[in-house]
Parts: sequence; C-alpha cells; structure tokens
Amino acid sequence: MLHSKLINKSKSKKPEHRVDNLVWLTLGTLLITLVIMAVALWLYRISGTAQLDLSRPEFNGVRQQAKVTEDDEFESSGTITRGTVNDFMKLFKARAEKIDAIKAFGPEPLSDQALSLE
Amino acid sequence: MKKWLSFLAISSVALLVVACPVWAAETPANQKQLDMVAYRCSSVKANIKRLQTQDAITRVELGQNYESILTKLMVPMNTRLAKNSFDGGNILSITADFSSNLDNFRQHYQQYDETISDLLNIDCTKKPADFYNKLLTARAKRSDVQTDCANLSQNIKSYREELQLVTFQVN
Repeated sequence: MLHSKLINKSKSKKPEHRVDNLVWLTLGTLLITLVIMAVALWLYRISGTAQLDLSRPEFNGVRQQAKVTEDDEFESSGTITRGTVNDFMKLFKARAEKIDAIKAFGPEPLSDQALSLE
Repeated sequence: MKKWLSFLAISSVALLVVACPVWAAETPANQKQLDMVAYRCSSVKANIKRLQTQDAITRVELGQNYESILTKLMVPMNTRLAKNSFDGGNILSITADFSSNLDNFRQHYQQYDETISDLLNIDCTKKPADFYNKLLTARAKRSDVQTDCANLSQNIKSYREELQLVTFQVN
C-alpha cells in the first residue's frame, strides 16, 4: 500500500520537476566526485606518496633503475642462541652494506661548480 | 577622517610587508652568479631535473632498505629478545631513535623534493635572484636529508654494537 502510494505520489509530479531533480542529482554527484578527487590528490601530495611514485611520466626512462628488493625476514618467535644471533648479524650486515653502497644526498650535485654557476 | 588615516597607515604597512620580500629577492648576493644563472638557465634546470629524477630513485631504494631493516630485522629481534627474557640494554631506545629518524628522513625528503619542484618552476632568465635564493633553500633541505641519513647509519651501527653485547648473555 505504501509502495503504491509512493508510485502515485511520483506520478503526480510534473515532468519538469522530475527533470529538475535529475539535473540536480547529476550535478550533485559530479560535485561530490570532484571533492573526493581533490581530497585524494591532496592526500597523495601531502603524504609523500608523490615523491615515491615512479609511475609518473617523468620517471619513464629511469624506472628500471630502482632495484626492488625482496629481503629475508628474521623470525620474531623462537629461541635466542649464538647461531640465531649470528644469522641475524649476517642479514643485518648485508642490509647495512646495501645502504652504505648508496651515495646519499651529498651537497656536490647542487653546488655552484656542478651547476656551472662559477 | 580618522578612519581614512588609519586605513592609509595600515595599507602602507601592509604594502611595505609585501614589497620587502621582493626587494630582498632582487638584491643580488653575487652579480656574477646571477648573470651565470640567467645565461645558463636551461642547462642548470636540465641538470637539476636530472638530479631530481636520480634522487627519487635513491629515495625509493634507501626507503626500502631502512623500512626493511626496521620491520624485518630490528623489530622481530627485539620481540624475540623480549620473549626469551633477554636484557636488550639500549636496543629498544636505539630502535625508537631509528624509527624517529626514519620519519624525519621521509618528511625532510618531501620538503626537499617540493623545493626542487618550486625551483624548476621559476623562470631563471627573468628572476635569477629568486632562482638562486630557492637554490640556496634546496641546498639546505638536501643537507637536512643527508643529516637524517647519517643519523640512521649511526643508529644501525649502534644497534649492531648493542646486539654484540647481548651475545655475551647467550650460551
């Protein structure tokens, strides 16, 4: 009965009102989409993800240079023996050496000399 | 009348505040360098762009390794030590320092990258002073990132040394 009442009510509305409602619905949906997209882009920038995103077009030529490492994980459960500590030290040393091998953010590349500003 | 006078006074002060940074930017620290910036604008920008790309690769690789050391090695070892009732000494505080320095690294790199992007958006033929000032800022931000990397390396070294002490407790 309620269902038929609702149907009768909508049928009683003028066609122009139904079109107006549809236009408002479309505009409202577009507006909400734009707001959500703006928030998503803002979060992408603010969170630092933009700096890590090598899928950006400017990284086309160098994307392959980034080495994706799949490292062994040390188990958090188990006993502690000299053997396990030694195994851990081997993993730790290997990881530390990878970091030391990367020349990280020295001042030379931005110097006046490097940029030929002297 | 009084209202007009106060409005004029406030406007003058506001104008000075807005204009001063412009004056400061246009005052060259070294005219020769500014001339070089304007003359070599496109090659300087190309070098900086190349550097930005390379830095992104470095950032990803370093970030992966730091994250891996923290989550796959330090934290599991700390958990295991605790479960086996070992006295980890300063291991927990070193791990906390490492985590804090890693957050600083992420934050400082983001600021550095944004500064480089701003730098690349400046027209150095028309605004060499602005470009050079921004370059100085970029150098400072890069130095912050380097400091974070040095601190993280120190944390790694300290963690290893502290763990060596723990092995004396092991049978």
